[in-house]
Amino acid sequence: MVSLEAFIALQTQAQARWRARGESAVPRIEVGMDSSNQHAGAAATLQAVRDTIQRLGLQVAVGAVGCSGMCWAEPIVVITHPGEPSVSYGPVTATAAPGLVEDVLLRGDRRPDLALGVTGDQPLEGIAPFSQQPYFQAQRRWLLERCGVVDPEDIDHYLATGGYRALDKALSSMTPEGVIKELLDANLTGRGGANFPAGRKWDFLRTATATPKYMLCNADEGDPGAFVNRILLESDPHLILEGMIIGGWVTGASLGFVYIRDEYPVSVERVERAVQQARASGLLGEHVLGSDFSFDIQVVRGAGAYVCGEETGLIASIQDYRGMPRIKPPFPAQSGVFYKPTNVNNVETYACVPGILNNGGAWFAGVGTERNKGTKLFSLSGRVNRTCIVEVDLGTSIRTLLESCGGGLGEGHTLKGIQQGGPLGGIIPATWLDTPLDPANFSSEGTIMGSGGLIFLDERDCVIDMCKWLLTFDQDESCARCTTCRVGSMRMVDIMERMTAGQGAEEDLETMRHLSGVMQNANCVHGQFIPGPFTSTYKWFREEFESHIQERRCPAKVCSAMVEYVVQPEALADGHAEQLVALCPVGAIVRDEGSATILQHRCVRCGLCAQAAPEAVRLNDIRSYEPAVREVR
Amino acid sequence: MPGQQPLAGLEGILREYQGRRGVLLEVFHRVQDAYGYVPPEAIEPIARALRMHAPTVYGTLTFYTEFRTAAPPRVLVNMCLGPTCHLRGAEAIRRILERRLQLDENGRSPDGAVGVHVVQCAGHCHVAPLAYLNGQVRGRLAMSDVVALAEEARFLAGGASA
Repeated sequence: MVSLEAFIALQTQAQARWRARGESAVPRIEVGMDSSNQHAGAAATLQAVRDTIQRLGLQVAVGAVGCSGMCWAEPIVVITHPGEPSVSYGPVTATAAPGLVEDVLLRGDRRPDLALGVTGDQPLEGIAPFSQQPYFQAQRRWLLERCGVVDPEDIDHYLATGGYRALDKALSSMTPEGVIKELLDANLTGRGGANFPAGRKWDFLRTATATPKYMLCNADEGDPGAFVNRILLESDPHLILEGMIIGGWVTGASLGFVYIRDEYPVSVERVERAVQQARASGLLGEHVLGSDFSFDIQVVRGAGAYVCGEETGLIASIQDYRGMPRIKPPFPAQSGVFYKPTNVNNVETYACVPGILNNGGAWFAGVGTERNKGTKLFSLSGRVNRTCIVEVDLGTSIRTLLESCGGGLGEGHTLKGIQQGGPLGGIIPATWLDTPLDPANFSSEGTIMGSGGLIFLDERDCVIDMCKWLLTFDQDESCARCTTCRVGSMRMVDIMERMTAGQGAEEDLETMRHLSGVMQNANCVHGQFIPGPFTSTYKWFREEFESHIQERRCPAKVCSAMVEYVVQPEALADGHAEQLVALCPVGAIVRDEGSATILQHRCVRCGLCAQAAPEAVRLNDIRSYEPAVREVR
Repeated sequence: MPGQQPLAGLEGILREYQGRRGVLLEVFHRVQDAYGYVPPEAIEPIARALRMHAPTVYGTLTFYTEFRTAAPPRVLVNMCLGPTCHLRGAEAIRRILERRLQLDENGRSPDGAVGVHVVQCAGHCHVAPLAYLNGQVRGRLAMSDVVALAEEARFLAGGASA
């Protein structure tokens, strides 16, 4: 293989800069500056680091990196002494940062108390290497290789760490058919949840006759509790661009769109910057790397519509219309953006492509299950101890993710279920802990694995309430084009509202099952999958429906209309009554003959009083129902 | 539309997009960034510049929850009600804010100065439950923080009169 001259020039320059960074005699401090770090206060930490360095008059190079996936420990600060492996610290708040910088750089104290780990295989003065920690041992970080390590705003960091090599390889020594063959050998399937073979999709577009053709990257990651695309968009944007450029070359597309949801402003900024850098380096635009292939990428910022994550909705949105999905066929490969052939893939699918070309399809197919190959990103949230993003082989068990990566649940709590597959997915029971994460295992049980969000629920949570929450979301996000979806989802939400208010009836379940069948006739997958939360909850948590309907009782005491906080006067210590009155944020507690009483129509069930005086305030089930006088909202 | 003041600066924004397709969302974002919302009187000029029908432009505008068609309140509290926030009490937080700020069904305080708006989950579950006060994140909210959050919103809105 002979590399393109233009690529060699770019790579040489990038590697020289990268080497200079590694060999520098000045210590380096890097702060994680993606949006999840920033939500934890990284901007203030970075400022504190800069101020401290200036105050102490130190010679230090300060920079930014992306997110490593360890969201629980953010803000993360990485300190590298010349010639040594990097040590990550977290959480480093703005208050802790000056002390950390002083200790590590002035006093030579490694601060193992704040350290998360060290790169490489060897411990460093009592700090364990990442490679020996369960969070990393459970993972195979192919896509996340650079996340939290390189500066995502610097294209040279990407180039120096093997970036754009796959594009060079494709352009200089492969044929479009050859690339598609590698993807098919790899058995790369769509990571957004539909699981369709990416190689076949690309081949549809390649053989389409109309021009121009478009490559579309679906970065409208709307599933609540799924944030796996965000880490790639913000911490390694060039990886996605490289996948798209290769796709453009293979299929003959001339323009790509990255549709990013409005809730990810940092992603929009990072990808736009990456596109500009790629253009300036000749990786985008006329004659990519001096070849006769021209391709450009445009970033489109969404505006808060979940249903635009459906590919035809996404296309409508790009075309200036309401983001309403339409009936397929025609499929996007026949008629997509501006009625021209279009390929739509998820962020993660594009991100898999460079690795496959560099190492071969067989390499990728070497991990995973019998039917599904490669690695997959998952985001862990909910009651898990460590909210995080991980990349594991397909086929890894949920238990490994929960226990090794997520650090288990809170002390003394037991797993009740896992909300998977986004709001159109479902809730699977704790018995699934040892089930391998493979889309086939989910579809055979009538549910979906989805795009990678896993929300862990424990005994404190009510699955009926969660099911209502999911259905309410789905109803709210229905585009309202087809009556089946618009009205069907409204009816489902109505029924769930009644059930969680203690007014459910036996026949409601029958109606729900009937609606679940009817919704299969909705125009698009949004409507068709809306019953998912109900059918899975009904399948695996039927006894919860029974207690809500027959006993009119919420076993987890979550459904706010079925429980009430009651003060036990005999257990209330002297003087505590006044404190409870003062404590209640909504003025629902009043003095009552030396004790205190909670006015139920005012109470919002926040539980603050029970936290403050657990011996005196009890959470009881409500036994009698008089809907007309209850004003709980 | 007779009698209406032309929007200052709108022509400048639209100049870049004359006759182009696939830019309407970007135009709305630019207009909203400039004015704080997309004024109804901007619809005709946008439609003319992009050679679209005004009703189509209006239809697209109202489809997306992030575009406002009226001026935003002086103080905007954006609340996440995502699943992790929900499990950790976001609903109770919303109800407390509702009571403390005397919000109406549109989430506005009586003087219109404070608004509480629900935003989509962006996956920052490590700091759940969270809210944004005028764009600044307030994470890991305990129930006891909410009263302070409401007071702060009222203070920023200019006065404790409400």
